[in-house]
Amino acid sequence: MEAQEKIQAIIRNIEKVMIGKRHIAELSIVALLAEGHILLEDVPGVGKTMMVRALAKSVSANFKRIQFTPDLLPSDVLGVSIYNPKEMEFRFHPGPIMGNIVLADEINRTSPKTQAALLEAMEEAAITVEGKTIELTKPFFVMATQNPIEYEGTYPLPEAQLDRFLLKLNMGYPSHEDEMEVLRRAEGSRPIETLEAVLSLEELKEIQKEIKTVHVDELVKTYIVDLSRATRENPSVFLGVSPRGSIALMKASQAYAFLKGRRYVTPDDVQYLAPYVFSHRIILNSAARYDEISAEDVIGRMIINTPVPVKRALL
Amino acid sequence: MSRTIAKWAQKIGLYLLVFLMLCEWLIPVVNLTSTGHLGLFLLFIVLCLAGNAFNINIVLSFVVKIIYIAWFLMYVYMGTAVFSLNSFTRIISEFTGSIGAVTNGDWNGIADSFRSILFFVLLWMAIYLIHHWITAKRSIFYFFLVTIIFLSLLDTFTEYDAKYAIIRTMIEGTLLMSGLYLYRLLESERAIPKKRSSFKWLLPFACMIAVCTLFAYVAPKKQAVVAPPQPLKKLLDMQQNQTGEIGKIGYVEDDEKLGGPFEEDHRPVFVATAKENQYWRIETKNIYTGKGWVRKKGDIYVHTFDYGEKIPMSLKPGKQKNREHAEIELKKDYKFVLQPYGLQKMDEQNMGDQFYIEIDSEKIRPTMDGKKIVLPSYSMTYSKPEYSLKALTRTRTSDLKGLSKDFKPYLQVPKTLPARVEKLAKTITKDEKSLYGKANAIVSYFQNNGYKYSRLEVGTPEGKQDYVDQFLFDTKSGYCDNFSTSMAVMLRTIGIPSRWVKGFSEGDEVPMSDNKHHYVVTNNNAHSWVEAYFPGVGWMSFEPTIGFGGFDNVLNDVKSKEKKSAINPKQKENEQQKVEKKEKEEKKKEKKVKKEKKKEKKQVEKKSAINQTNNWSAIWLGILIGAVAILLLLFFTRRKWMPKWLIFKHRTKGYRHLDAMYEDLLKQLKRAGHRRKEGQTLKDFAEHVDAAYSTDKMGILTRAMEERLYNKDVPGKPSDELIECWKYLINRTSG
Repeated sequence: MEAQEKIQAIIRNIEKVMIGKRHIAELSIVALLAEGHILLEDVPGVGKTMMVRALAKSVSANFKRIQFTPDLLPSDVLGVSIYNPKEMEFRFHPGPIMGNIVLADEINRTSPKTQAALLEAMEEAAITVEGKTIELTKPFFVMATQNPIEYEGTYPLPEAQLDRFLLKLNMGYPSHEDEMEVLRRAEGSRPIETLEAVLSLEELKEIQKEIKTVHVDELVKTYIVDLSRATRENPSVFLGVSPRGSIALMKASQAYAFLKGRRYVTPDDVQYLAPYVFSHRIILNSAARYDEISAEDVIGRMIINTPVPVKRALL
Repeated sequence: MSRTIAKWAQKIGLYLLVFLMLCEWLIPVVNLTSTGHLGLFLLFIVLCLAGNAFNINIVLSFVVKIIYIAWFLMYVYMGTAVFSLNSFTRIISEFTGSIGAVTNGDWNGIADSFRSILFFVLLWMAIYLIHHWITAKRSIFYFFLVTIIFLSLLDTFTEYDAKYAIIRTMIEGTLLMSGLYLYRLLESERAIPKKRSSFKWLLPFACMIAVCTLFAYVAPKKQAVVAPPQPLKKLLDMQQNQTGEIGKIGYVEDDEKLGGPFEEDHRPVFVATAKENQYWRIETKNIYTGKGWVRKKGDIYVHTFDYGEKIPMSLKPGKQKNREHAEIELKKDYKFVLQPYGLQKMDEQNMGDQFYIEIDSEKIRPTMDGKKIVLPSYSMTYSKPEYSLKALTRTRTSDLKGLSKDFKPYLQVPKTLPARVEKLAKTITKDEKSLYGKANAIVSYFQNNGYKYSRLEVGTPEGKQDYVDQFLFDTKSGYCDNFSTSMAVMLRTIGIPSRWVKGFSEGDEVPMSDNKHHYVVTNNNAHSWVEAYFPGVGWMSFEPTIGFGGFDNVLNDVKSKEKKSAINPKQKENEQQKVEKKEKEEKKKEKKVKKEKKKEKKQVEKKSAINQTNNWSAIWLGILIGAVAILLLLFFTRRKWMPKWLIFKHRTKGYRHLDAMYEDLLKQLKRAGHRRKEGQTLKDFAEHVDAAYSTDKMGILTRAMEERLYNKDVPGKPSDELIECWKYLINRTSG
C-alpha cells in the first residue's frame, strides 16, 4: 500500500533526528492521522522540538512554535488586529496558531485564559477574534508539552481541557546507547536540514479521510466500551473516562491499524493505545494517589482484567 | 580402525540377540509339531541374518537361500542323491501338486516339502521384517512383545514348558531394546560415540537387567489364584468325552466322573411356589463306579401315568391330612419334573400330556405323543413324609438280614473300593445301635472331623484313585457330591441300602404381591444328597453336606429331650445356627434406637429376600465401576486422544469453519497447558504459543482468525495453508 510506505518514510525521517523513540514517532503520526493532538509531559531537552519539526517537514506542513510564559496573552497566540494608518482600518495579524503543526511548549506555565484560547482553537479548529470566526488551516495538529505537575510555577490544565488531547505521551530520557548515538550525530551536520518531504498536505488529508473508513467491528467497539466502563467502575478512580474518551480510543485505534497496514482494528491496537488515550482522562482518588498508584498502573490492570472478545457468539 | 571393529561388534551382538530370540520361536514349534531338523532351520536363520547384517548383495543372498532351501528339501524329503535331476523334478511336481491342492482346499493333499517351503518363506519374511525394525525403526518392542505372548500362550495351553524360555527372552529382549535405544539416542542427537562408550553405556543396562532378573527369579511368586487351565490337548480330549471337569455349577445328567472345581452361577432355574422352602428331587443314581455314579445299563423300565393318578414312588408320602400343593415355573428347558418330597400326583392340567416315571432312578418325565417334552409350569400334590423317632430308634442291624433281592443294587460298591473306607464306616458307627443312629453318626462325622465345604478346592481322582477314598482321607474338602457320595458308599459298606439323590436345595424367597411363598432356585442350588433304607421305616433322606439345612422330617414322639437332640446332628447344627442368628440380631437391635426398631426388622426381612438380586446388583456395580474407570481414563488422557478426534471431526466437516476449528484449538491448547488469559489478545497468545512450540504457525492462523473476527465479510472457510497450520498445532498439543 502506498500510503503505508509513505507513513513508514515519515517514521524513518523522524528517527533520523530522534534516536530510539520509534513508538513516540508512531504515536505522533497516529494523532496526526486521527486529527487529534498530543500532550507531551516531559522534561526539556529530550528532542521534542526536533521531532515535531521533522514531522512537519515530512508532511510539508507549516510549522509554528509558541513558547508559553506566564505573561503570554491569548492574542499572542491567536493573533491581533492592528490599525493600519495607510489603509485606515484594522488589519488582522494571525498569531502562531495559524500553522499546520504547532508546538505549544510548556503549556502549563501560562495563565488559564491563554490555555483556554489554545484549547478552544484545538477543539473547534477555528478561532474567534473580535466577533469574527476564522477557520484554521487544515490539517491542524498541536503538540503541547507540559512540565511535570510537581514543578513550581505551573497552572495545571483543567480536566475538561485535558480531554481535548487525543494522546498523552511521555518521552523520557534516552538510554545510554541512544544518548551516545545522539552525541555522535551532534558532531556532524544537523540532519533536520537534509530531511525531505514525503507527503503533501493534500495527500495527508486524503489519508485522514481514508482512516475514517477503517473497519471497527462490533466486537472491538464492545471491547472499547468495556474498557471505558472499567475505568469508571475501578475503585481507585475518582473520575473515569468519558464517552469522548471512548471515541478518542476508537479513532486512535483506526489510525494505528492503518499505520500497521490493516483495514480493520484488532483488540491489540486498542490495548496498545489505551494507556496513551486514557491516562490523562482519568483522575485517581486520593487513596490511590496516597498509595502512589499511577493512572498507567490502573489502566494496565484494567486491560488484564477485561475479557478480550474472541467469539462472535458474544454479541 | 578400532571404531569400525566396535561398530561391527555392536551389529553382530544385536543380530546374535535376534537369533537367540528367533530360536525361542523355532524350538517350541519344532518340538510341538512333527517338523524336525531344528538345526537345519536354525542354519537358515543364520544365513538370512548374516545376509542382512553384512549387507550382502541382494541377488547373491537370494540365490544362496534358494539353493539352501532346495538342498534342504532334497536332503530331507527325497532321500535320493542330493542335487540330482530326479529329485529336482520330484520337488517341482510336489510343489505344483500342492499348489493345486491349496486352490482346491484339499488340505491333506499338501506335500510336506511344500509345507517346508512355506515355513522357509515365513522365516525369510519374518527375518526381513526384524531386520527392518532393527536398522530402520531402531525398535524391537513389538517383536519382543509378540515373543513373550507366544511363549506364555504355549506355556499355558500346550505341554511345552516355557518357564526358562520366558526368562531368556526377557533378558534378550530388554538387552536388544536398550541397545537399540542407544542407537536411537545417538542418531537423534547426532552424537558420535567415543571409543568404548557403547560398552560403558550398555554396562549399566546390563547390570540393571541382571539384577532385575535375579531378583525376579529369587523372589517368591504367588501361585495362580484361578486354577491353571488344562493344556489344549487335554481340553480337546475332554470335549470328546463330554465330561464336565471344570465348568459351571448346575444340574447335569452325567455323573460318571465327579470332582473338580466349580464356578458359581446365579442364573435362576425355576421358581417354586409352595408352603415352605424345601429340597427338590430329580432322580437317584444307584451304581457307584469309584469315580462317580452311573445308571444300570440295558433297558429302562418305566411306569406311565396321567394327571391326577397316584405316582408309585418308593419313598412313601406323609399323612393325607398334611397334603399340600406345589407349583413349579421353569426358567430352563428341563424335560423332567422337580419333585417335592412326598409327591403323590400331578395336578390336573392339559389333557394331552402324559408322564412316565423311570423305575430305577425315579425320574419323572412329561411326554406328549410318546416324546419327552418341556412342561414350562405344573402343579403337584404332595405330603411331606414324617418319620417317627420311636420307630427310627428301634431299627437294628439284624433287620437288614431279611432284605429282599430288590435291595441288592443299593448295596453295590466297586471292587476297587479301598478297605479303609469300610473300616472307617464301621469305626464311626460302632457305638450306635439303631440304623438311624448309625446314619446320623456318619453325618456328624463330617461335621466334627475337619471336613471343609468348598467349590474350588476339590480334587479329581486320577488313575486308580477312588473318589470317596480321596475325599475321606486326602483332600477332606469338597462340595455336596463328595459328602453325599461318601455317605452313600459308607452306608453301603455297613450294609444299609442307600442311593445317591440329585436335585436342588432350597432356593431364596422372593416377595410377590400374593400371599403365597415363592422361592427362586438358581444353578447354585444344584445339589446332591442321600437316601437310606431302614427296614420297617422305608426310604429316608439325609443331608451329609456341611452348611446345608437338611430335612426336618423326624416326628419327636420320644419324651426325653436329651435323646432327641443327641440323635439328629443336623437339627443340632440348625438349632445352633438359629441361636447364633438370634444372638446376632439381638445385638444389632440393642445398638439401634428404639424408634427405629420396627423399621430395622422390616429391613432385615427385606434383605434376605433381596439376597439373590444382590448378586445382580454386584454385577451391575462392577459394570458401573468399570464404565466409570473407563470414562475417567478417557478424561485424564483426553489431551492425548483429543487431537485425533478433533482432526477427524473437522475432516468430516470438510474443514469449513475456521471459527470452530480455532475454538477447538484454543481448548486443546488449554488442555496442553497453554491457557489464554481473559484479557489476553489472540495475537499475544499466539506469540506465546509459537514461542512454546518454536513455530510460527499459530501466528499465521491467528492473523487469519483476527481478520475473520474483526474485519468485515471475511469468509469462514480456511485456506489449505491454514488447515495445515491447524493440523500441525493440534498434533503438537498431544505432546
